[in-house]
Amino acid sequence: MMAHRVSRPPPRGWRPPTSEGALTRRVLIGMTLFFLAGLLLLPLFVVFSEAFSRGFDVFRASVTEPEALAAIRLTLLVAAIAVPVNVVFGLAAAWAAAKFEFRGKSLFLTLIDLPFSVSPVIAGLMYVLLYGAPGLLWPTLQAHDIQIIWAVPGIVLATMFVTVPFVARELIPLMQEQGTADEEAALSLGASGWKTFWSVTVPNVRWALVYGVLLCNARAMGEFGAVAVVSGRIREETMTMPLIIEALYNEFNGVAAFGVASLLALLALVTLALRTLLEWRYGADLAGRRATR
Amino acid sequence: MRIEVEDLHKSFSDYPALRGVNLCVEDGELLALLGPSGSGKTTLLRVIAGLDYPERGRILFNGRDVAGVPVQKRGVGFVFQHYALFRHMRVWKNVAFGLEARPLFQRPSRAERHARAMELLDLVQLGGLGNRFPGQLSGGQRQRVALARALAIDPAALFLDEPFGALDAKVRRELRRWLRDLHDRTGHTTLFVTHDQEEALELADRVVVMRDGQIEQIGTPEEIFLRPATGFVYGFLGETNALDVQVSGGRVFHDGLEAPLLEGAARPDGPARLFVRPAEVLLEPVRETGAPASGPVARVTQVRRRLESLHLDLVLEATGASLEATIGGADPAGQPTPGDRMTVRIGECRLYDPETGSPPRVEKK
Repeated sequence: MMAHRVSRPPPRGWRPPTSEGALTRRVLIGMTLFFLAGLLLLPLFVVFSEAFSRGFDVFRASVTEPEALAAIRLTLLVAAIAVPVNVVFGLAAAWAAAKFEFRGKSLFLTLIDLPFSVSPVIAGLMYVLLYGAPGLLWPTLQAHDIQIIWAVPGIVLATMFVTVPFVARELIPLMQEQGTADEEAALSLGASGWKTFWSVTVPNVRWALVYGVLLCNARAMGEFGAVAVVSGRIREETMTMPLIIEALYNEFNGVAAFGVASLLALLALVTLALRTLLEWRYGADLAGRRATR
Repeated sequence: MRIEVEDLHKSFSDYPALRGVNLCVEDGELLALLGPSGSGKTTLLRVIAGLDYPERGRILFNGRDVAGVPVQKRGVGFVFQHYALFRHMRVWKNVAFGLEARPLFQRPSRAERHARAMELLDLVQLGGLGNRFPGQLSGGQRQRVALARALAIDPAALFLDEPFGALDAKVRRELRRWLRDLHDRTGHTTLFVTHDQEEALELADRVVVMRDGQIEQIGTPEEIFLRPATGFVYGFLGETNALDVQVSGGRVFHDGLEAPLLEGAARPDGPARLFVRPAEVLLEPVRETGAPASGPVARVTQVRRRLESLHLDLVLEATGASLEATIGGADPAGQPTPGDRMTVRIGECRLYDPETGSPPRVEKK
């Protein structure tokens, strides 16, 4: 006599209706692994192995050169400006799109996505045409002695352009899904609009906001195309990390190029790790499923 | 607080949600807004609370027009259909939110806020759960947190939008009784929206039946149930058969039938609509004796089992009109089967004007 029932194995030849046969599965998994290795893991490995190919001291020397340090500083500065601006814009745009109905809303949402569909080079060129030497606003700018193109403001502007959608895109679906009931509840309890925004709206989207900031930051630091067009590549002045990497590489300074590159790659890995952590911990919040319904 | 509503109009793009609503809620009253979805009941509640604005009409709180008063200042505790609890705050912080949101010089200290929240949680029988998060509570518990949160601002009136809509039947019945109890103890003027007829009748002092943005009838549960003003109200309060009939000299005829369905109806001659509950469609098997049947004959097309009765679908042989009937179904021997012929007699029923008696729509959720 059995004390308790043992679950029976499925009958021979049975498999879950949504799964595939063994061969199909192996082929698909194999293909995925092949592309992962070839496209992602190997290149990443090469970056680090190149950077350290002549030892740690050479690596350290290459990333502490004045040029490299200036590039790192500039990149951090650009990110420090572009990301907060993006957060403010993203919150405002998502708030408007998710909580209100207005004419032209779908056009507005399409416009937010514009930087995703425009090539970064075009984005850079637009700013050159607008603020550059023969450009539309050039006379005004020159009269006030303001330099935008071939200077830091241009780099910040170009970076902001390409990163505009990141925070907003994370927030809009979530806020739309959450609706306005929480806000209405807060208001009916006597809270001001300001109080409601900070103690209800923002906390409801905080993890999506962090997620958007991470993505935005990674892109802001890594942007090449748009920045390359407006930077003018003045050494120690308008060279960001991606630009200096390319410059060093073109000068056959492999170790230095890969040294800086490995720093950028490290940033990407940290972003990835934080992202995974967020998804693992707050996946439901990010996906917009209402946890407390 | 006494609430008066005069000639309220509201539409969403082209859809009229409220079309001239007049209502007076007495101080301390527990009032139900009952109606099918799309009848405007939730819109009415939201407009009175200040969550939406009327296009026309006036709202008076204790005789004072509140047109320019924002929702924050109306002093209405609102309980939302899905509770809208702040999920990142602990339960007691949720309850204390209304106190925390007060302007600085009127705000109680943190200790006072905590004490008040705990007091209210005790009142809603959730003492001890203050440190949980809303996600860790059951639906019925969340519902009571939402209520405690609304009570924390010492509201002049309490509004509840489908308060029990998302709960299962048993919890629902318990909370219903509990809410009535709470109301009797605290005495808040309370308005609640429901599409559940039984809930409205059981809970409310008075029931407002709404349909298509207008009030169909206002009355005590007894009045609404025993003297429905229109065919719609009658139809909304239970399962109903509706038949187009002609009244002539007090006798009620259904088209195509020789014999009258009813006699002695107190109604002027002309077309009318007859409403009868399935339980009042009285059936008797036709005896195959050759003698003419004593009334209209219907054929059973389906028999379905309900908890305490059998539900029959019938077709009147002479006209093809369908009827539903319920009979006590405890005795399995005497059960009718499809194909049986039955003589139909109409028991307790109502006659309304054809236009007010359009087919009843009963909401199912």
